[in-house]
Amino acid sequence: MRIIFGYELDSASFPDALGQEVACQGTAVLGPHGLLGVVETSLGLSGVQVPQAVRIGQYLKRLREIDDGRRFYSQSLQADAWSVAKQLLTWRDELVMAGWQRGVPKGASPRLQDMATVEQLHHLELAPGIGERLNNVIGALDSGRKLALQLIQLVDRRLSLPQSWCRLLDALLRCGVRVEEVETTVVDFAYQDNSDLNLLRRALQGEKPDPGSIRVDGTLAILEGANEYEVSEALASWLEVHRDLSKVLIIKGNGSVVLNDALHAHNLPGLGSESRSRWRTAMQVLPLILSNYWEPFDPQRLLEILTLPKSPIPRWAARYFEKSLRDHPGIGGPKWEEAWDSVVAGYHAKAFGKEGGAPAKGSVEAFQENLSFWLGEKRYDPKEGMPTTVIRDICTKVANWASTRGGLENDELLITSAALAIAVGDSVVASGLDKVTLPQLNRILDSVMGEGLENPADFPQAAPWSQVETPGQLWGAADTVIWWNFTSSGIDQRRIPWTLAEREALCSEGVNLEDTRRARLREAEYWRKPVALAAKQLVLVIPESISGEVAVPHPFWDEIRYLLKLNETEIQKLSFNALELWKDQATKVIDSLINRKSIPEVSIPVPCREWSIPPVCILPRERESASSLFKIIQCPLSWVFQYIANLYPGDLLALPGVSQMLGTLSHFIIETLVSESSKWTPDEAERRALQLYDEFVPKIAAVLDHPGRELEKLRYRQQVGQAVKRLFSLIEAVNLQIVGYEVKKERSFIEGKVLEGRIDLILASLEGRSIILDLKWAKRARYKGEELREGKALQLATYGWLLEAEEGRFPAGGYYMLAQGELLVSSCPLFPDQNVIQDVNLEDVWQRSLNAYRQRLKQLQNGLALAAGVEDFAEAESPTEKPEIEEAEDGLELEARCEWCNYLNLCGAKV
Amino acid sequence: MGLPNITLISASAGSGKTYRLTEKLAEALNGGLDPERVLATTFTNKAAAELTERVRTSLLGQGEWEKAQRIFDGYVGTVNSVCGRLLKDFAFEAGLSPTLDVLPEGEDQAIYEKAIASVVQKHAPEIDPIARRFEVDNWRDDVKSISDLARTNNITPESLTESATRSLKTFQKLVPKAEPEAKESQLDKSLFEAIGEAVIQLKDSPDETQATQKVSQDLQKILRRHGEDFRLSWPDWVRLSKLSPGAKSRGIVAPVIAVAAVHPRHPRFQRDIKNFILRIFACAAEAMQNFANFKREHGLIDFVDQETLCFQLLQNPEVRAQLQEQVRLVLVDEFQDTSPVQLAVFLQLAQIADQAIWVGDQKQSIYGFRGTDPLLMDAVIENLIGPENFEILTQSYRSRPGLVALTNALFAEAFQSVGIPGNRVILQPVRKEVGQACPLHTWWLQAKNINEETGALAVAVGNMIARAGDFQVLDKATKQLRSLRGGDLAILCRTNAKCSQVAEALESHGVRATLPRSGLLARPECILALACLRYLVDANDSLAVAEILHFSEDPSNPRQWFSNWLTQQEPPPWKSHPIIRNLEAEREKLLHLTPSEALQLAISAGTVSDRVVLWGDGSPRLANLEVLRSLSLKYEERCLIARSAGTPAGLMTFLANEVKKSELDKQAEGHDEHSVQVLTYHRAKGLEWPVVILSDLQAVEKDNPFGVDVCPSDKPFDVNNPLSGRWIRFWPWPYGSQKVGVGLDEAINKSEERQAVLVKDKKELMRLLYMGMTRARDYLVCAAREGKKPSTAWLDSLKDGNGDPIFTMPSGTGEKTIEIGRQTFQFYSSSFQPLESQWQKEPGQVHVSATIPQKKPFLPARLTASKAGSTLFTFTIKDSQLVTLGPRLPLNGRPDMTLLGEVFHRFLAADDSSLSHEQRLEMARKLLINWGADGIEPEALLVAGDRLWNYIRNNYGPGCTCHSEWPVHLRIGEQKLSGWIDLLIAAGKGYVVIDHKSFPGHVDQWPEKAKEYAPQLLAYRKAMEEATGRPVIETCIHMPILGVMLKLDLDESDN
Ligand code: SF4
Repeated sequence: MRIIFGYELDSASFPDALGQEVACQGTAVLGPHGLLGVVETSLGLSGVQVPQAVRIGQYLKRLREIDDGRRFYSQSLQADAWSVAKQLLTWRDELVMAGWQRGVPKGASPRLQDMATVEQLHHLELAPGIGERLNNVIGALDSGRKLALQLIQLVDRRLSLPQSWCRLLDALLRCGVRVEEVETTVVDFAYQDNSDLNLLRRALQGEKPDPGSIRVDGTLAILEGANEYEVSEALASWLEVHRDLSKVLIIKGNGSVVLNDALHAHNLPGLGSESRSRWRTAMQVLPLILSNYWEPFDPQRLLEILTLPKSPIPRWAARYFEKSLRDHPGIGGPKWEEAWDSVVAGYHAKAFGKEGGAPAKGSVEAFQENLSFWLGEKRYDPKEGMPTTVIRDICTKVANWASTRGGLENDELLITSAALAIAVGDSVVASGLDKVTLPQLNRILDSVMGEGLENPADFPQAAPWSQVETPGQLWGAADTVIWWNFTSSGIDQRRIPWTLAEREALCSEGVNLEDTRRARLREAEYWRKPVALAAKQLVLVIPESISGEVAVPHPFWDEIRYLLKLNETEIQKLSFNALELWKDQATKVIDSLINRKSIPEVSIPVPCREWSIPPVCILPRERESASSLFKIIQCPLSWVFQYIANLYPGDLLALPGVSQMLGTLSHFIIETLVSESSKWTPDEAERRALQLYDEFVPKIAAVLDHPGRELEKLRYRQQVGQAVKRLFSLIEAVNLQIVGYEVKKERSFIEGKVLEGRIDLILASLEGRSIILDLKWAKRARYKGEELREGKALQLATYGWLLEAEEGRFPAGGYYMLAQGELLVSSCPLFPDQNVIQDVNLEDVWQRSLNAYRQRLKQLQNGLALAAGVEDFAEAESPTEKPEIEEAEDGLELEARCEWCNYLNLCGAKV
Repeated sequence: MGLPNITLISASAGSGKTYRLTEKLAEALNGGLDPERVLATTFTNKAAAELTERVRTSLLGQGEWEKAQRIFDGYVGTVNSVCGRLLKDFAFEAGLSPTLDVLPEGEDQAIYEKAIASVVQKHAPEIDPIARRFEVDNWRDDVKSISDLARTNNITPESLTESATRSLKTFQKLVPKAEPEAKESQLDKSLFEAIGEAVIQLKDSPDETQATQKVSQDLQKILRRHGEDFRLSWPDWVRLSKLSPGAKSRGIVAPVIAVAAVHPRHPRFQRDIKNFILRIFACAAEAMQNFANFKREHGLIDFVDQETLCFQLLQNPEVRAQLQEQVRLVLVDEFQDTSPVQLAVFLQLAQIADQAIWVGDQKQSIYGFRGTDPLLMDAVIENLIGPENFEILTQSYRSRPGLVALTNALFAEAFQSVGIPGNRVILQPVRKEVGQACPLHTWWLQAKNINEETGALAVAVGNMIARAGDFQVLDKATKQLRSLRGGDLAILCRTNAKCSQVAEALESHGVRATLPRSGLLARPECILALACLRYLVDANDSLAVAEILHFSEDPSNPRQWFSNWLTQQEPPPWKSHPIIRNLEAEREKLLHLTPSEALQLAISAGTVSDRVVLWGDGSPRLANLEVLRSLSLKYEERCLIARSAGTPAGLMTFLANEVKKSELDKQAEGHDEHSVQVLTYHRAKGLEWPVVILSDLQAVEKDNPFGVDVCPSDKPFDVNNPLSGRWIRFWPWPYGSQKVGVGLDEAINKSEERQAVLVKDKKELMRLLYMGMTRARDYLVCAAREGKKPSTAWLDSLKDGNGDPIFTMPSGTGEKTIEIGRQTFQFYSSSFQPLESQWQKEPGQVHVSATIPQKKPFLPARLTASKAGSTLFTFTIKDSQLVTLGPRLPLNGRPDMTLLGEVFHRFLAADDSSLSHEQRLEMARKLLINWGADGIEPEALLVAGDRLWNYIRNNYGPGCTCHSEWPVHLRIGEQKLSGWIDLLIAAGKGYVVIDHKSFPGHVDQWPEKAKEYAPQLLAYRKAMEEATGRPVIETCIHMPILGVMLKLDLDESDN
């Protein structure tokens, strides 16, 4: 058997064993890991490979065993044990690879002594790492074992290889394996023309070209662009028209999703990309579920769980909880209970039909139990920690779900993530702790998930071209070599952690650590390979930014520029800017003409004030409410969007803002107070309100419990307390009775349609006069004050009209501004002067509202929906088609509040 | 410790700083310094890359190829990346985790808030009521400012008490003596009563003036809001003290005014000041502690920690010793921009290394607002750097002689007055005049307001570009003169907001502009992309669907989608819209994707990048999509830092809720040679342009000593402890938006603190102007508003020794000659008016890919033989023959058959006739242990081997050769298949392929099992035959445990 060996050939190689052939046998192309594996196998030395994470755990146990507080790593071990074990194990493995026999070298520093001490703890298991494997193999070879291997051909210079691998090669040599370097510069370019590429090749070999020798003949080209989108489009277009893709080699680095998409758009196969990530949604299910078991409760998190693709909570049931969170973003409040009831009822209906057969014993309970597990049953204090048993149960349940679901759908990734969930559970149990705090648990999650998983669908696709990942994987010639993403992203600094003295001590024990220089030089040799091995053409693809981060050209570019003595003008000539593609119908890209489809620019949807709509669809709705009236008068278009077209953002974006939440919460508190008693003294009311606030924040406004919100929570608490106290003292001072809270009223208004409303508070004076109060939570009271002053209090007017049906006259009305504890009323002699904002007649307001409503409706029925907040400027449409816009006579005018509107993107209003 | 050996290079703007730095570094490397032993810090990553590149090129020039490579292993980067690396490399010495996650700038806020939650909770009941009386909305910001400053100045939490006392003491000097405590409630009561009385009187008063109405309303509001418990805020007291009703009603409110005016003497006011200062400091000290603990617990570190911890680390003798081995030369670029603690780090490093070189320019220190302290810098220079170590660069390579002369004339004197001698200012021009137009221009912008000003500026710029031929510039790349183009111009403004206004004005005049702009998510391309993501993630987002339809509609029929929507039937027509269909089809992939992949999927499934190019200006649109993608990575990074789960849904809410209108909501900057750059003076640092336009010349210095500020030590400078004695002054402003007529404003006027702030800011402004002016290579334009108000205050503030302005912008238009110092300068002065009309863009053509994508299924490039399924080959098993090799091997218990299979496999692969029985047995034993397999005796493996070898010898003759684990490869179309044949036998007539299988089942089950293995055998057979041209005569499955050999006669049928 023949092995072609190169330091970087473990993951890819060009050429591969097949080269140009259809089939081949007896030859393998291998990197160090591959070679070690083959030799191990033929010596009968192989074994199960223990995952590195497990070895870290084992090593950590050893470190802990001997940590007496005086080890060189003791302090760090306290800060972050896992990472320390990980780092030290890497150092240790490097030493073993370099030949360390795990004893104490002569003159060893305390650090080395500490390292050696760990090795003496034989009673604690430590699975062998690659160093031990290497040493075992070398030992076996030196004991005279024979191998079926005849020849190893090196594609790297032997002297440039890391010393540890040279040790293996030497041992093989001693066993009679032939080891030879192969000549990789296959192209005999010396006699070829003076192409730019040849010029560069010769310069690399020491010739000194004159400045200005470059001819820009396409043999050396740069494909540049502002970002991955641009260069990907250019590269894919160029490849699409390429004469012979079988002669093309792409050095793809980590690849790119954007490039893959561009290739597909040109009907070319994708290169695949390095897609290892911890953020795959399937893997995130466990952290998500776990996070929902910590305090404080986060509604956003639960929404993410509820809306997970293939969520463990059935879609139909999830909807109820989503709605509950939207109304009351908290857990355990009245809406939450309601949601549960609906879900249980829904389960009955689903399982037993509408008729309601007898449920199988326990099945409802099982369903509920399961559901409440996924919704998070109990929450733990992050500092105190979650019981290990709970964590393990969660891990097991998530794993069961993932493997069942994964098994059903043949979903490899889901099945693997089930294994990860088990691993998390195991690690937690192995830690031996009763309770695990949040930071500790996160570290464990980190260590298990940190490596990430690949997307199984993101593989390199069968293509006419060849591809490698790094230039070091190149050892044969290709006509065209494309270096994708020729930027400096991959250069990292290296450092040997050992001092000179320590290295000397190690050296005397035969431990030779590789110098960073050697690695640097090897790397530089690799960079030169594409130049040496591109037979006809080398294309360097340089995006100026990658994923929004500025990218600088690869450091090898410094060398090229220097060697060819390129000036800026020449560089510009060598470069093709991807942007050019969009500018012309036919563009020469490097050496090929690319034809594009020329089309006129399409205008972006412009802001539009007048939307024509099919008239038939705007009937008067069966029911209107104060807020829908408000909306149609403010901006008819937004009313159509909301009430006719039903355009809503999804649930995830529907969590209410703080003001809205506080509005809900304080309404709820006052409602509760009123239902508990009709006679509150202001102080008692305040006291009770504060109790309710504390109890219901987590149930109705849970985000207030989040860290960083304590100041708000405190301020709101005071505000709510004050608001309640002042409300009751106002009521008390003028001797009013609370006669209704959250009173639902309806009355038919036009064409038999119904207007409905829910009145927050109805008060009655001793003489029996009603006063309606609407409770508002707003940052500023000014807006509502103005509304009253300007006679625009549509909501109060509407409620007034609803009550008028019973009372025969419009009651007085007002807003109680909760955040300010400020009462603003329309005419009402009962209250002190300062509270009466304006002597408005609500009946009048109502009349004008009705006028406006009629006009709006008519306008809509005529086929025009007006976007009130969009400026009126001439549009391209012909004016004749426009329906007349007539203003309502004596109609209420309300300003559109575009900054709060969901439909900005559609109408194009500017805010 | 001895004094460090620092060489300081004072490099005025344009004096070839980077060149000199490279030269110095190259010199040192030529002198034998190992490239790995360089430590160099720069201000930005880009500068670090540039320095590395220059040094490499210089080394390559000297044939030092190897050194050019090794420079990568030095510590080269920004201060933070270098400190970060030192901490990582010496994590154990520092007692830190070796893997700390760095909190990116701007990401620390949320973490900080989490960390200090309990501190805030503890202090809020005391502090918050006072804060509300001060109308201070978020006193947590003050707490944070104090703890941040304390950290960057290495002030410990414990020593903050001292700062608190000093702050209080100095503040108390500003307020009058308090009224006796006993009068407190009386004061409140009188005010309340006075108001009540005034309200009543005003109501009855016939005075209907607006002023009186307003007073009346205001007083009513106070009564409304402050019923019985009367606790007005101090700004309210001030407001009441300043009531001004109509003349007739003055008498009515006089009593109110009289009582309210007592406010600075109110005992509660003075108590509030005291408690507030002390408690805020106490809170800050605890916050620092909690923040530090939190980060430690969670394995996080921020930029300031990196520096302070590094400072501590460098004091560790062991670390110093090790570093002495590793670092010999320390280079600091832009030393004037370092924060105090950074400076302390550099002093340490200078002591460790043999040699340190600091390059920079005191005159360009402009980061006072970020905590840079020029005074501290001056002290270092004064105390540590002798004249022999002070190198001054004296030549200007950047600007035309006329420009150099102007800066010399303006700034030599101006800086002299603040202690920087002329020889550190004056430069000799290297460039020669080559017949370009007049280098100095002034533009008077005729404008009454900001809109007109930016409009006029846009006109002026448009005019300049239109006359490009008149403005020849020296091309930096070609070194030739050429006509000006848009990209050669830079307009400098004071604020980001102004930049946006200018850019908007330019664009509405048809001049393309580049600037950091906010509002990424409001861009149509991002609206569309985000709508796609929303619908991908949430099928219920009907608004997202509407947005997708709206933005991808056919423009000849705008808003048709909406009519369709309103008349929709079942199924609604949009369900068949290609984008919606695509997104729905892709939705099921979500569980496999990362958030950022989900976004890219949304973009590609929604064909967003294709669509937005059609709108014209494709490049900036694509760039914005790229920025959007970078935000998705940012989200993942955030989740990592916050240690929370991250999902596509989370990304979507992050983008929609958190990014919008935040710092992150920034558009791609993009640039091309035709767009004018608009940027702030601060951001212009380190850059240069052929034409620089200085705007906002009306800037005046700040004089407000309130808030949080750091004060220098009053002790002499100590190189080993350069930050000792520094303290923080915190003076809260107790009057909210009330700034004048409050007493405090007058008291402060005479204070030394205000004077200090004034002087400090004046100097900072001078440096900023110098920095701005020196950005110009060929032309400099001063643009100021023409009008009554002085709009050139900034220029005027440059004063000579006599306190007279050095330069006054020439008024009028045309050529002007003015004298500056003893020199005369020619200016060309013009005047511009804003235009009325708006510029309209003509729709053009775009050229898009002509390829129609077909949804091709693409196959994987590589296959392994063992996974070759029946889809790859179609085959029939013509015949199968079972040969018994011996009895079934005994198994104990129910072993894991996969592991056992591996062991047999490996044993047979390594089994070799040259081995002794003992060796073989040993091997079998080891394999069983290494694979953790049980259930069988080691001897059984030997039996299996013997049986196999016997069988082979008997069947294929002694002349055959066996190859275990034999590699084969086969090309199938564009796919490549590879595998290892377990056992290949080269027999006389051809090859025999054998695969070992450890299936324990009954013989009856074999035919079925064989079908599974057949494709693999077939692949081997084809590969061998194709590669050698010789036939494979048999394909067999060997079952060592059952002791049988199954010969399969396979026929590949064409499909
Ligand atoms: S943004 Fe303004 S104009 Fe547009 S729909 Fe909403 S309210 Fe109407």
